[in-house]
Formats: sequence, structure tokens, C-alpha cells
Amino acid sequence: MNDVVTIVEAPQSRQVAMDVGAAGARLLGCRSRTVTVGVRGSDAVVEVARATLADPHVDALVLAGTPEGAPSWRIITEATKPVFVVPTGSRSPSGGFRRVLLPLDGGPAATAAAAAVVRRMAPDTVILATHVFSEGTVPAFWDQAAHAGVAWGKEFVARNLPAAADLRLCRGDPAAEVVAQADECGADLLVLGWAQQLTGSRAKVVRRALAGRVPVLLVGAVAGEQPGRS
Amino acid sequence: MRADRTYGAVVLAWAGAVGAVAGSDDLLARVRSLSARGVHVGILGRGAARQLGTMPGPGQVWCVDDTLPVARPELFRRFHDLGVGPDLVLVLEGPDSPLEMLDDQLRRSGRLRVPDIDRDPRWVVQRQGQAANRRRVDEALFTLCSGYVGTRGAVEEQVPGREAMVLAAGVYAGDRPEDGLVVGPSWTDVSSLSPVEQDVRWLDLRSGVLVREQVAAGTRPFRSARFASLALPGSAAMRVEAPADQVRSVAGEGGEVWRWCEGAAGGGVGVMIRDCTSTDDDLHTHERLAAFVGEPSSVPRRADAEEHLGAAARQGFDRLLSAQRREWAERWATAGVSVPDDPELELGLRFLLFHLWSLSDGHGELAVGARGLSGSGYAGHVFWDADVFVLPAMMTIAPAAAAAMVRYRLSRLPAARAHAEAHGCHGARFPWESALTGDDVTPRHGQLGGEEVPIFTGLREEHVTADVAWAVVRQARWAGRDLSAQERRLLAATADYWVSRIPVGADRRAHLRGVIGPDEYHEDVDDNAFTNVMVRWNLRAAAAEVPRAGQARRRRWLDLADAIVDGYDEETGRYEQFQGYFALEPLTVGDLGPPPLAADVLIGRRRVARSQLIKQADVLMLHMMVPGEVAPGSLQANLDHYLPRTAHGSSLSPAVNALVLARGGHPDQARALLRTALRIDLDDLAATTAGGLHLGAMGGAWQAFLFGFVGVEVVDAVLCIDPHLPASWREVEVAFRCLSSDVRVRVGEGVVTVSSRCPIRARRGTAPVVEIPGGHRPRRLERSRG
Repeated sequence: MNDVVTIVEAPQSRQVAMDVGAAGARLLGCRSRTVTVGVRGSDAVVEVARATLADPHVDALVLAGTPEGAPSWRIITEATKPVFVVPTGSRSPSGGFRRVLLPLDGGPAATAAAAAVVRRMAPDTVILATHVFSEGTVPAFWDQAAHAGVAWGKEFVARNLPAAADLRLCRGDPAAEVVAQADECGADLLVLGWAQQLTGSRAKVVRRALAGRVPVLLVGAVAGEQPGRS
Repeated sequence: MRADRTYGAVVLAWAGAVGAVAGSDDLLARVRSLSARGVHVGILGRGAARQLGTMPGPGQVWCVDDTLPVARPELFRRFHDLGVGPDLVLVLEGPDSPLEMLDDQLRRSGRLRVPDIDRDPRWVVQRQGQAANRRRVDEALFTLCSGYVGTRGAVEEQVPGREAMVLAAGVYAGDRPEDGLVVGPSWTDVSSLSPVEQDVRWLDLRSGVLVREQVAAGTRPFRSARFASLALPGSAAMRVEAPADQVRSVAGEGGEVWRWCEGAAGGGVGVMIRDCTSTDDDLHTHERLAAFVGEPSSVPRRADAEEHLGAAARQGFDRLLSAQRREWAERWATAGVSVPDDPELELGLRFLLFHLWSLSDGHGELAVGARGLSGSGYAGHVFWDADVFVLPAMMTIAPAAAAAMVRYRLSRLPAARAHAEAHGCHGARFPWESALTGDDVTPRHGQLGGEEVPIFTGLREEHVTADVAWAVVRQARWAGRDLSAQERRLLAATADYWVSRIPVGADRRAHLRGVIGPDEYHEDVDDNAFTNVMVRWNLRAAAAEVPRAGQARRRRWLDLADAIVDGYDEETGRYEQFQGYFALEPLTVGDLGPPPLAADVLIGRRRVARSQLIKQADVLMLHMMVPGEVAPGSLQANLDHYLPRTAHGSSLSPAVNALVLARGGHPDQARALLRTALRIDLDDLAATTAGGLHLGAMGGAWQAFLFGFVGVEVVDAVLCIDPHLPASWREVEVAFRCLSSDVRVRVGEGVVTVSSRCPIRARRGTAPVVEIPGGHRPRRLERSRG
């Protein structure tokens, strides 16, 4: 059994981050342990995080604190393993991660990356999938509303959903919609597959999510992949 | 020349080959055996063919004098005419080991080895390395049809997400909106076959053979080939070869398995298969013949399947394959296309022709659902797509099938009359969605992106009634024949419907209120220009074609035709799409993003309805369908206005706009849209091809090419040609059916040449009509001197 390692630096975020680490470990079938960085400064956190990620017995990392420029921002763009990020105002998942929101934009690599993590989740986890129709993801055609939804939805589910999940479709700004839905559906965790780049539509979702109140599990995918526009 | 292949023809090419064959019992016996298996043999050398005696066939055997400089090309031309491309010809240049090579081919046949195809990139659709969850797209692309039955191109082994199915045209599970086609039992499953990874699949459009091959290194490859027989409609054949431990027969050696599925409507689809197996070295080989029975309203009978299967078995796989190649070659000779400067587009056109043709069962009636027989999408329902998009294409390649499509509508005329009555009208009103009985099966609820929406098309998209009438007349005029009595009844009944549906006011103006036009972004409009002009056309056509309707009745039709408003503004040359359209927010598609895009999904139903954005051609559909009913010279003004507002959110849209752009003298702009139309399924642009091919878009694309770019039309039984080719196309050649003849047109470097099997009349643009002699003697059409 591998570890989910929580790296804590700031005392004020310590308990929530450790709770996230414990919940993340249960979710992924891992042990939880915590590493406290004794030396203040972002470089120290980055060094510890890099060393931890290099450990083959570590499956995922937990980082607290999300202001841009914080150590977590450097790590999330280079991590080769999933990273739980605990936003500053995040609630403590004391009851574990039972409801997981999985936004899917149809990009195959990001979907596959997120799916790989979702498949590891405990079987009693409720997976709530969502897709936001936006400029980047709007289908080319929607022939007959009487039938197109069935045809499109069936194929989207078959291609993108890694497990039995409810799929909710909406339209608008993906960043705003995803964060709003995370609140609305009472998700304790948001799983985002992304290309680990801080520009582009997926990065907007990540930035918005990291400023939210729900812990985020970031899963790196192929760099440069765009959301799937049908 | 690869030794490890099964060829379709053999050339013995050395001096004295004829004499050698005639003089050697061993060699002659092998030539006879090859002929018996459907392999064609060409013998180059001096000597008379009669030395060889009668061959058992169906493989042809020719002796060609090799002193003639064209001897070898002549042989290859003959093979080509029989559907055997150059890559499928085994050429034995010397007498060193002809017996061994011929024996190898005979052994491969006897051991049930998988045959090859000619992998000519201009004729082959290839798919490689598809992710497992996208294989359903390939299943639709690789659908093979025989007669009225289609088999999706699912792989042979059981893999997650696979949707193997057999569908029969017109065999519905029921007549409720949610009932689709009956899904018949799959016949291509091979048990105990572990997943085949790293495979490549080729659909040979020239022969209708689907081949699959494993390309993983270090293993004996898995290979398969299958086809739906043209020679014996309702039957199919498949061979599979794989390492011996990988395959087990389903039916057992020589055994037969009969399975069927029934729908609530009483009809069903049945499949009977017969397997046989063999081995070759360490390969297990497996051959399966299948026969289908589909019955719309009764249980499929095993005896029928047995009869079909028996006929297939008497032929055997090799002979069926030989006939398959020959029949497809004959098809391509009567309807085909060549665009040498645009091979990708050319392949797209051949791909659509292949699938349209695959549906072309000319017996009885033909219900062409929106996705044909390639998937369960759209519940197999018949929309206006069939009448306006597929049928006009079908009539140019398979007139008998177009006539069968018309019969589908004719036999549902009583249901259309009942539908009109249910709406308080007389005459006949055809439903927006039709299936088994012709009752309206349009769902009442649907989904627009993430939004649940009520569906009004069944209530308001009434133009389908005029579309059906238009299709009936269109295919008759294209064939150069008069309407039948039944067709005239349909035309009159639809005209009666409009008379009862549309009141004429005291001001002698008639308004059609509360409809949906082809642009479905605006769902409750008055005086939709498309609908009103199509109604006018319907009324006038009825008056012209049904003289026995009586003077009073015809007078009512013509009065309404004269009274109905059409939204045309002489000053601007534009038609207003419906009352109030020009006052809507002048959004263009460029404000949202690059088309095609589903604007209603992106910005919502209400927002799009408040704007001038349109889903697809609406006014411009008139310029495609009834150019004689619109104001002369109005095309450009309406292109200028509507094209920037067209989101192409319907898969039907790119083709229509390509057609009118080409007709309007913008072939380069049109080419880009035609390309989009042709890639809808090949590139899965809609992300829904897994549910079936977009047949309407295919039919539209063929119309865009033939009626738009080549500029072909039939007017008063005269073939008119007014080509508009993109700058990058130096020449095109097209063969099609028209005026009850086979016609070929070549356009290149400003020259138009026509030939025809039967005498016809033709003209170029407005030039005088000229007589085209029969016998495919080419005649150049001159431009008008004016």
C-alpha cells in the first residue's frame, strides 16, 4: 500500500490539510502520512514536495494554500502524480470524500487521466460528472433536439465516464459553472484533469477552483491538449 | 508481389504461355480450378484461346497476344472491369514455378484463408489504432448492407462498448416515438477470440469488402474479411484466420444456427449462419455464411433464411466474392466520380456513394431512416432528410431505390390523410417523423445541450408535406417520366391539405401561421418563406400534374398559390425568412465562433430565437429545391444576408450551402463547405457518428457536387449542365443515372463532354439543345454564343 503524503507549512492550514490527506488516502486506498516543512519559505516546500513525489511509494500529494505564486502553484504544474490542493477557505472533509464532482470537457487525455484516478476510488464514492457547453466545447451539430441529446449523451458517457455516474449538462463559463456546481451538489472533492499549464480554458477552471471552498484533486494530462469540441 | 496473399486474378506472362497451359494437363487443371473459384486468369502469349476449352467460371480466362503493345494493360483493364484492381493481380513472369504459385493460391482458397483487397488509397477508407471507446464510430463507418439489411462493422471479438447489430429497413420494434428499429442478432461474433490489438481496418469501397489485420509484431496476425453480398441480396460472408488457439466456431463444423429478434409490432429480423473451419500451418481458419430475413409485420421465417443460406452455400465464399467484386465494379461504372486533383474529397464522395448505394434496395418500399442501417440513432425514423436529401441523390445512382422510397410515402398516404383530419384539415399531411405505419412518431420532449425542452417539430414543421410532394415529382422528372396515378393522388391530397390549412383573407392574401421552417432556431413563426414557397410550388405542381382533379379544385389550388405571401422584397432582392425576422438582433455566427457550431446549445434556445442566427439554410433551401419558384437573380442577395447568419448547427446545412454557393458562382467557398459535409462522419465531427451515419448530409453532399459543382439538372426532359469548378480542380468526371439512361459527364479546362447509354437531349447553360447519341459516344457541349 502506497502513501498519500500531506505537506504542511502554515499552521493555520495544518488541520484541514491533514484531514484532506486522510480522506484522500481512504479514497485511493492508501496510507496517510504528513510531512511538516520546518524551514519557512517556498523553496523549502518545493524541494520537499519534489523529493516526496520522486518516492515510488507515494501515490499522491496534498498541498495547502493556493495564492498564486505559492509553492503549490509550482508543484502542480510539474507533478507527475495526482495532487490534492486545499484552498485556503476549504472545509474539512472530516467524513471523508463521499461525493466527488468530476468535470469532463471531452478532451481524451484529460479525461483518461482523471478516469484513472476515479477508478481507484472507493466503491461507495458517489461520482457526479458534469460537462459544460462553452465556446471551447460546443458541438458542431445538434440536429434534432428530440433525438440529438440521447445520441450525444450516450456517446459522451461511453467515451468519458470512467464509472457509473450521474451526468449533468449545462452551458456557460466552465470555470464559474464547475465551482458553482461543486457548491450546489455538495461535493467534498473536485477532480480536474488538466494539461498543467496556467493558461487556457482548463487553467481558468483550475484557478477558479483553487480559489473556492472545495478541495481539488489535480491530475496531469498531456500538455497542450485542448478541451474536446465534439 | 507478396506470396502470402490471396489474389483475385493471375497473369501468366511469358512467351508461349498459352501453349504451355494448353499443352500441360497440370497447368490447365489449375487454371480451371482457379476459374471455378472465381479467380480470373490472363494468359499472355501467342496462341488461340480455344486451345484451353470451356472454363467452368465464374473466373474469366483470357488469352491475349503479347505481341500487341497493349496486351498487358488490356488484361488489367478487363480485371478492373470485374472489380479486381492491380494490387490484387498475381503476375507470374516466368515459367520457373508457376505450378507451385498456382497451387499456393488454390491451397489458400481450400484452406479458407482470408482474401485480400486492393489497398488503393483512392478507394480505401482506413482506420488504425482507434481507442477502444471510439470503435463505435468505426462500426458505423464500416456498416455493410445487402438488400434491405445492414450489419454494423463491429469487430469479431467481444470487447467492451461494442455495438454489433443487424438492422433491416422498415422493420420497427413498434410505432411509438421511442420505438426504434428491431435490432437483429449479430452474425459476425467469433467466440473464444481474445481482443485483437493494434489492428488496422480497411473498407474497400470498390468491392464492398471490409478487411481487418493485426499489425502487432511477433505474432501470426489475426485477419478477417467480410462482405454483404450484392450478388445474393440478403446474404453475407466472412472469413477469419488467427492462431489456432484463438478461435472456436460458434455453430460447429457445417452446423447452422438460426436466431431472430421480434418487435412489439410483430415484425422481426432473423439471421441464419453456417460455419466451416480449417487449418493452414498453425493458423485456424474460419468461414461463415449468413442469410438474413427481415419482416416488418410478421415473424421472420426460418425457411426463408434456409433458402437464402442454401443459395449462398451453393455459390460458396470464393464465387460470392468474385461476384461481389464484379457487381460493385458494374455499380461504379454506372455511378461514380473522379476528382483527380482532390483525392481526399474524391474519397469522401465515393464513401457516401458507397453507403447510399448500400441502402439501395429497389424492391417493395424503402424506409430510409436518418441514420440508415448503420446505427440505432434517431430511432430509425424517416424525416424530410429522406425526401429532400437522400432521395434526390439516390435517383442519380439507383432510380429503382428512389422509386422504392417514394413507394414508402405513397403507401402511407392513408395515414397522412388521417393525420390531416386529426388536425382538422382535409387532404394529406405527412408527419415530421414517420416509421412503420406513417403515423406521427415525433417525440414531444428532447434535450438541447443540458436543457430539457419541449419538441414542437411534430406539431409545426409542416413543410415536410410539401417536401414529400416535391420528392415524388422530382424523381419522376429526373427519370423523364410522367407521374403515376398514385403519385398524382398524393400530389393532389397534399395540395388539398394546404387549401384547408391556410385561409385566404379578404385582401386575397394568405398567411400560414405558427410553423417551424428548416431553421429550427425559430419555433413558432408566421409566413416562413421556405414553407410558403414550397406550399406554392406544391399547389401549382398539383394543378399542372393533376388535370383530372376538376376545374374548381384546381382553381382553389391556384388561387391559394397566388395568394400566399412569400416575404420577398423586390428592392433588396431578399426574402424575409418569416414575419419579423429582419427586426431581430442581427447576430452573425462570427459573433459566437467558427462554424459549424450548435448555436442553440451554446447560447440557449431563447437567446438564439431572439436573434437572426439560423441553424441551417432556410430561404436558401428554396434556391436549391425550387429555383424556378424564387425571384430570378435573388440568390446572391440572399446568400449575402443569410450565410453569415448560418451556424450550420444542422449536419444538413454545409452541403446545402455548398450547393447554392457553387450555383451562385463561388465554387472555392463552396468547396470548403462540401469538404465539411463530407468529413462529418469520417472525422466524427458531430461526435454522434457512433449512433449511425448522417445519411442526409451524405445525400446533400452528393447533390452539392452533382447539382452544384458539375451543375447538372433536368429541365423539361433535357439534361442541362452549367459547371462551376473550384480553381484547384482541373477536371472532374462523373457517371450517374438520369432520364432512364446511364450518363457520363466530363468537365475540364472549359470543355464539357457528355455521353449516354441511351439517346438523350442535353445542353450547356442556355445554349441550344443537342442530341446525345446512345452507346456512350462522347459529345462535346458548346457554350451559348450569347
